[in-house]
Amino acid sequence: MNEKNEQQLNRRRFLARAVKAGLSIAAAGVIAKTLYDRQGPSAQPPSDLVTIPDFSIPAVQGRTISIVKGPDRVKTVDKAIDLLGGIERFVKPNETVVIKPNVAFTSVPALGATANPGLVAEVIRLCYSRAKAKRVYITDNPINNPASCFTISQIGKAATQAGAEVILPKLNLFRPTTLEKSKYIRNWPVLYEPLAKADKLIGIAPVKSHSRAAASMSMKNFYGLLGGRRNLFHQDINTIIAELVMLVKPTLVILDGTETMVTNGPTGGSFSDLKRTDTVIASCDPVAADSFGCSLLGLKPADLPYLAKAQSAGAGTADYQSLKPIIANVT
Amino acid sequence: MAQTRGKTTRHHRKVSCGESVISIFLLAVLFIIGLSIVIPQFNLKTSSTIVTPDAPKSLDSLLDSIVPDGFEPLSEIAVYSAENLYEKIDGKAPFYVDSGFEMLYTSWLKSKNNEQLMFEFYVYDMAEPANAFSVFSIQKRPDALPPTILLRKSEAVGALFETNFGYRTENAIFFVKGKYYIELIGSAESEPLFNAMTEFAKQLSAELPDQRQFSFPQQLITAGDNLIPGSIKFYTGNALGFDGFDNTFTAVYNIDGSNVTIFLSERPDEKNAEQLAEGYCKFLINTGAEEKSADISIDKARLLDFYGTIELVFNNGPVVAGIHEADDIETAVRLARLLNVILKTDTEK
Repeated sequence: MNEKNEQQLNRRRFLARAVKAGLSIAAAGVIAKTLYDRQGPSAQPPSDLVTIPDFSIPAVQGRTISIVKGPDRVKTVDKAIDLLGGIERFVKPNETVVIKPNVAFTSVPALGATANPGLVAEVIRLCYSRAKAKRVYITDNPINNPASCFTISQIGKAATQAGAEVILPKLNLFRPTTLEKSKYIRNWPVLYEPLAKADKLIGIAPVKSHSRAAASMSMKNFYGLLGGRRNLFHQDINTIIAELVMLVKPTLVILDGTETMVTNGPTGGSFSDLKRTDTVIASCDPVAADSFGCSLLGLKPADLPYLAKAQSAGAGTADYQSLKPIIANVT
Repeated sequence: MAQTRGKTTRHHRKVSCGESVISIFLLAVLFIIGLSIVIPQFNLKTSSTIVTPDAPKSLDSLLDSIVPDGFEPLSEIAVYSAENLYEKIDGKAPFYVDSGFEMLYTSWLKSKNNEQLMFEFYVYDMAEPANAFSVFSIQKRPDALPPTILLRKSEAVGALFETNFGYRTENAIFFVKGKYYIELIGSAESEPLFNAMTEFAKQLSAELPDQRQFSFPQQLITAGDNLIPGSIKFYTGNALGFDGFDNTFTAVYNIDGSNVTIFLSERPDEKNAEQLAEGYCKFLINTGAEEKSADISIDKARLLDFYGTIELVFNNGPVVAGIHEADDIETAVRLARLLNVILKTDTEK
């Protein structure tokens, strides 16, 4: 220590500084102790977790699934719903309906990668004109840019013209949910707000091959209600699809196999990826719908492990024959 | 001691000019680091715009500049990396990423006169021509029309696929150029739309920065006169459903009316090839195949019945080869012998 420093630091000043330092350390300790959280941070406070309402309706024996053959989607979907008791069985007057079509991609309707806009419009029409629904909302959380998807798929325009309101998936519409005994859906964001104001939920999906899941149909369609980095689930696609159908219990699903994407799904790209199979399925049980739907792709239910998983979890039956499907033709 | 009792005196040491300069420099560095962290936080994009040193930037501007007559861009070019490819193609992303994918450039072009006519282009940078050919060949539509059909719409496009791999369907064009795999997806089956797409494809093909060519092993071409055109596929991994088969070619031959697939995979050395052949046989047996005996006349060849179809596996030097899903033993053995002779000749050369 040189002479100048010695001049600056006498005993009194040293003690004063030592006391100040001690007080500072003590204050920091008190503050730290006060703020210390023994539980550690949780990703989301449990009180914020939501539960998706159960939109299913009571079963009527022999009226769970209908399979209608015919080239015209509008006619076949009308018939398929009628065979289950008509839209009035599913939607009551003044109810609010959310329709969840597959709008995953910025893809034109002719490519069959998204739900058919004409079919979506027809279901909206049925909800309003026959069931006297108060409001119909259309929503999905697409893979690609949502506004572009709704525009290019023409679902946005068709839905609006039919009187429905399109809800694009903004961040504030997502809320975290946890599915009991789930491997993946734990504190995970879902497109909740549109569902919160709905009385009924109808899913509409095309039948497509899928490079990861082998087939994308009515169960996989509900992937579009998930937010976050949901692609992580592709590593275990069968489990997440089975969990989706445990999480989301729709009133009705419409599976459109009028033109089936038999190759290069889920995006396709060529008209030659599509095959005319002229079938529309309406079902209260998405597992049963997909169990039949996979036959349009030349697959058996055993080829899709998620069907067995969903059945084991009590989400539906992979043995659609046991439900005695009502089969009809519409020319 | 120069000190006044009861009165404190602060002594401010003079700061040298050098110290000031260093301090200012350090503060400036910290400020720049801060800015470089803060600014990107406000410029997040869902599609990545990572630019690698060579082609991508010029490819971006090249794609921007190719607009067929009567068409206009519907959107900006979106760029995806392996990190976010799923945002564009969902479940197909792992297929591309596992095959060596690096970047995707994509956008829409639409007709100025008819809003129903538009096409979307996908330019996949697959890093190597072999990877590009792999994703092209595996996804090839079974009823693809040969590229020469392109002449129907525009004579100029006839040159497009002279030395490349490509085909068209009613509404789309698919081709490989160098390390790029390109898809042009039309919204309708329409002549004006198709002509615009071929014009775009022709210009893109000519100006892509990678003009390397991918070639097949000659053995595939010479292993019989009955090679089904366009049936050659290349798997970077998991060929025939077997994990061990990476870098494997398959091709389909029509033998007396029935289709038979042959496969070839060149390994680093003979020992590795023997092990792989053995591994494939074990895989088949573990999944239900039964070993059969027959006069094959190929050293160490093994014949298996896999639920009614015949698999034949052997190695010739460092090449694992064989027959996949033949209808009967005779056809499998016949084609395997032919393949073995060609491989032997090739090895001797």
